[in-house]
Amino acid sequence: MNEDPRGRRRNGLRLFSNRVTPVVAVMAFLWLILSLLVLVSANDLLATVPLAAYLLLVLVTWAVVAGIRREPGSWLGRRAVRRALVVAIAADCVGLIASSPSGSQLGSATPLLLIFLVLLNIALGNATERIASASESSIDERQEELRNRAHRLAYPVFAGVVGAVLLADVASTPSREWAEHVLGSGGFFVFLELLFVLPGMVLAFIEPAPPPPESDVPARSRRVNVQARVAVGLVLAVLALPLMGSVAVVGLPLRTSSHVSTPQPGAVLSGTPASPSSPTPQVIPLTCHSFNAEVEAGWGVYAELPVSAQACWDGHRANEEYGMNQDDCMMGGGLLVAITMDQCTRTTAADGTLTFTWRVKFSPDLLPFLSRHVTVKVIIDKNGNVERFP
Amino acid sequence: MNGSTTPMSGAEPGQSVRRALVIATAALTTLLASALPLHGFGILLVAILAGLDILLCRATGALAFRRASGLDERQRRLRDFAYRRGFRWIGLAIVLLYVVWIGSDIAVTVVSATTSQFSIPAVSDVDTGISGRIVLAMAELLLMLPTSVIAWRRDGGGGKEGVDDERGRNRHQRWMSWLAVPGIIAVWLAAVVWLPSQSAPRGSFSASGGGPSGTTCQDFAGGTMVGSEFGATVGLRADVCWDDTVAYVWGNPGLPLPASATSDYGVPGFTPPASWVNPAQPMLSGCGLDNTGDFAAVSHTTCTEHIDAHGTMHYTVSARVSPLPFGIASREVSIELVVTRAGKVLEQP
Repeated sequence: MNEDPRGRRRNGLRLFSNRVTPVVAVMAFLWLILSLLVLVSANDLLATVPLAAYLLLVLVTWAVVAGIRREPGSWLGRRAVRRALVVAIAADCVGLIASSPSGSQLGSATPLLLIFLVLLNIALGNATERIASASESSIDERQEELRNRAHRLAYPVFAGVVGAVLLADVASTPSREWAEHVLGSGGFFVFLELLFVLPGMVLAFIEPAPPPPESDVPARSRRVNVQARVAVGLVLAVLALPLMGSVAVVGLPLRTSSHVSTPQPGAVLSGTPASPSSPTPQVIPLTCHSFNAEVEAGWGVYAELPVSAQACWDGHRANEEYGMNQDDCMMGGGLLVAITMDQCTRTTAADGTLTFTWRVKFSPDLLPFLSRHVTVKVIIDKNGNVERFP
Repeated sequence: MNGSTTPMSGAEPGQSVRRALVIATAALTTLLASALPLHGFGILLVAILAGLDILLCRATGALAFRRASGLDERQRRLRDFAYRRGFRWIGLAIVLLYVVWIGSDIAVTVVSATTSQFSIPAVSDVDTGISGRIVLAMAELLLMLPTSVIAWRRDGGGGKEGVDDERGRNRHQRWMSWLAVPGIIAVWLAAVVWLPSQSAPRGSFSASGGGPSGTTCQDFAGGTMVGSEFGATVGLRADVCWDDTVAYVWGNPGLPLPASATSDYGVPGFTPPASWVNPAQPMLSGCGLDNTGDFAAVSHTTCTEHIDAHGTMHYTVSARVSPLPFGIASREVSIELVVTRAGKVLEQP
């Protein structure tokens, strides 16, 4: 064996470069899971299970899609499929820009669109056999010519897109504002996408249809096509699950949990006279209760309204101690759901009944034309009878 | 493959000349994309760059811009290859230019800190978007990278074989191409002189300031751009305070405070020195600090304040924008900030 150490090193480097993407993907997945575990409290850990499972599904899908090798006659090699991938990537890029706010903040739908984009890029890489970025030694003359042509065609497209943004920057004040919006977080990702993938997209578009499979190929093609079908199923699942989750936010019944408790002694023990006409003030101790509740809609894609309040009563009227103010109506949260506050009021009626009304609209980020109204109400009369909660 | 200086033909520049042109173009593009002040001479840089681009195009036979029908097989392959390499270079070039910009920006800030009393950041308080010099540097990259790749290669000469060689027409086109330089200058001059000015809002990195006790203060910033990104910007920054009787700019000793702002200083019979009551705060109310003039000079900047009988403040920044030396074709620019004694903004850039 007369192996050249430099050759071995080169082979090692090549092997490493071939494995960079999987390594980066697995590391990113682990980082996401760890972040979830670190950031989320023990109580909310259950809520992160669907997201973690979804991320795992994305990883499996990526592995299956990346494992497909394009064969003559295979599904990914079809011209229509390649062009559909290009259109899907373009649509994803438009969505990234449209859904991103100005500045460096990520839009709520940005992570999901980025995941789709990564999956689509992997599929595109397989569909084009990664000719656009392959080393010169691994492609033949026809492929070299094809990718050079793809780059030549991609160049003016890239220059045109960048040029349009630059032109908008100089044209007028409103167009400059538009350019700044485009150059926000979503625009940055789209810029990277164009910079690294646009030639591959053009190549996928212009590459001629593959020749029909040879006679000895069908058996292998069938196996590959089965794997491709599985991959399609997984990709569809990855795409459909967030949409189904979004529909569930609007369609499934609300999940409500509530708990009323007496606060620890010494928290609030002031008093008021029982009757103004009484010659000697008779102090009646206040009675207070804590009201904790959570109203949740959806699963995976979800929105929740937490209530943590305290009210006291003395036989004349019920009063809020905490947790029923405007600030408390900002406490709603969730994942991929926009929460819009419709109403946040606290009133005390003439008969001393305390009413707190918190009304919001849930609207899924991915299907913003769907929405549902949710009302949380706390009604306590002057004697502490809870007429409604939540 | 040696003999790097071998020309493609007797009349065409050799590889060393072509490479020198590429290096000169890269150097000028880098200077254009840096934060180093150009003092109104940016258009000279652009004109030289345009001249170098024309030379590069001539040296390569404008191969990158020619249609396939006029090329032979070798030229077509070289052109497509140049676009691939150029595409790959764009990303790296943008990163490099960004590093240059950050480095030069830090250098400018450090130099200004050592040469003036206050550390004045190179970044203006006024948001003018992507500056004209960056726009032009990006345009240069996008337009000329494939040509630069071709010029850098040994086989990147003009290569007339396979092209219709009509000498008279080529000579005519060669001279016509040089008209691009005065054309660019004419368009720029027209833009600076006649183009309507554009308003520029406050930048996101604006400072937040304070003022005398018993007053409410707010920072204002904005500007007016002349000639879009390719002229100059006259900027305004002011820390305005009001106390329900009068509004005024605080932090610029050149603008004296109204009597009501200094009379009640807390100690009867004591008149504090002006530097106590109205200390110089150029980061808040500096005059002319937000002017930028990469492509046209900004001079005669004056900041004046007028408080009317109702206590409403009228703060005006005026300047002269001159695209050419000796004030030729200059334009007077004036921007105004009007704030009532109750803090209501009636006018701002």
